[in-house]
Amino acid sequence: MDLLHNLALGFGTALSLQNGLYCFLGCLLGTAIGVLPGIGPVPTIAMLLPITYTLSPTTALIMLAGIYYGAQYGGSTTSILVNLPGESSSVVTCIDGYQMARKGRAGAALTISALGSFFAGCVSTVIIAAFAPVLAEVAFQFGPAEYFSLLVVGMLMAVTLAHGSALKAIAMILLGVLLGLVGTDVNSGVARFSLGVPELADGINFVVVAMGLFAFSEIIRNLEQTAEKREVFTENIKDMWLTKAETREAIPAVLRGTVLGSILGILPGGGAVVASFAAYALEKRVSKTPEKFGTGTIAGVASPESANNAAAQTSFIPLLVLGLPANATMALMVGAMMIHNVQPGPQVMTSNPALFWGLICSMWIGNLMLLVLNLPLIGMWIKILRVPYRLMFPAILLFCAIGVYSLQNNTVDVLLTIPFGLLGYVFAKLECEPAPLLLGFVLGPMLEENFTRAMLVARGSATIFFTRPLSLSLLLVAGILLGLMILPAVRKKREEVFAAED
Amino acid sequence: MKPMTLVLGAIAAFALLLNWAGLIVALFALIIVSSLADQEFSLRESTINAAVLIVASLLLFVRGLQLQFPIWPAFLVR
Repeated sequence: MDLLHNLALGFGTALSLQNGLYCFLGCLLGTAIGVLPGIGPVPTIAMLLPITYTLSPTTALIMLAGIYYGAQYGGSTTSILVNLPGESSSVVTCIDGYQMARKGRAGAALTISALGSFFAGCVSTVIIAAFAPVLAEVAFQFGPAEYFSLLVVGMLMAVTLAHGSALKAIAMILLGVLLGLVGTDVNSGVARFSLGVPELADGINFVVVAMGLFAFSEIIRNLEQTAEKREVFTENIKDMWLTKAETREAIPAVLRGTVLGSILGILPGGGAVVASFAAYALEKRVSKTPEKFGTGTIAGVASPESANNAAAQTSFIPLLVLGLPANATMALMVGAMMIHNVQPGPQVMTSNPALFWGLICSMWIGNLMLLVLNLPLIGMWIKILRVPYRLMFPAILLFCAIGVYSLQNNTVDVLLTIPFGLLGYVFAKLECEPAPLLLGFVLGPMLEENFTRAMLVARGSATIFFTRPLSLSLLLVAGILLGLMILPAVRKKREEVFAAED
Repeated sequence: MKPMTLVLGAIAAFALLLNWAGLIVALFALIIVSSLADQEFSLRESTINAAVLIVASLLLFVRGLQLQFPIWPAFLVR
């Protein structure tokens, strides 16, 4: 009965006029940036964070969450119609989605993406509602030593699941941790790495890092590419319904995608992008006709699109239960909670149940809104695709500049984004994913804080990490992960999964 | 190199101009400088784009969200 009571509270919160409106706004904006290639949820959420300052924390989180899962819906539209990923989690959808469009089945591809995403969204909302409270019980038994070990596992897992070279991912996480050290040390009050700049004594704001690494470098890269003329399928999408044979093929694919996505979303370092790649690889493996993949098979659209939405939502579980962000977007959500003085962690559920359950229920409502936004209103998004990039990117820059400035009404923060933009651009050239850096940047200070606390509890003896059973098992998991990464067989497998992109 | 210099230069221009010349001038500089990075740059189009975006930001951020900015150049409002 407790669950029913909680859900009632949640729906009551999520359906209030203000929250409902902002949920809709988030979904609308999420779909828009999903449809538009060249801007993703990370820079958008970073851009809007300072602006949500005036909202209540619940409303702000509901809206920001809507942007993340809304982008999963919108991304597929561009992948299918233009053969350009609107979103990095829709990269694989291009492969079969665009081929379906060329065969005149764009309508069916769009329908199954939206329906698959909706189904996955409903399932993962239930998963969060059912499992989060149980996991929170466990989380309450975590002391600083356990948190430290868990963070180690999380970082290693993020490396395992990161896109591209594992060595580069490790380097990026460590660089993120180092950048996270900038600022005043909590225990001694000594300013670290502040280079004598007073603004750096408070540390670097992660919005500054996210904006430079993601938004600016992305814009620069887009501008460097010469505009290719691409075929946009805008007619021929009258026929939205699936044929019987397509339905038979799509349903098991949606189910598999949902399950796989839900699992990968919970894992640290997981999230929508990894889930969509893994789902495509899995689908190809279990299919009786793997040779048809790449020629416009519906399973190749249904499964990754369900998986990315499921993962986008279940990645809220580690955030809400443990206060640990599983990916770059969740790292921003931690920031959103901090801005509003909500300390992320298991206590949110008890100290702020309206926020916790309201956020979960808003996801279901948001998915319903997105279904309407994406299927009957598809024509509207196609029009958005026609806005030329040369008018759009100055607007994105404007939002970024104003967003960063209003963090503290300080132009130094705006100037600080420039080196990070430069860094992001260099990373892109070196094919280093910036997401692990942002994760390390947020997790680093948590790691340090828990380490210091554990050492204080143990009076300076590092054995505390090995003598507490929970902490020891977590560290063993970390050891196994590290071992697995070095094993050549696993390394090959990892490359195979991501090879689907090419 | 050109897009990178111009995009990051536009941000720098905004940051350096804001406190001295106010939001309107700073945004104008941001939009025009960054637009130069595009291969199909046209001054006319970018000026119109800048005008629309500046009016929209004044309405959204200053009127709507009540964010605090110096709007006019500091040497004029004294």
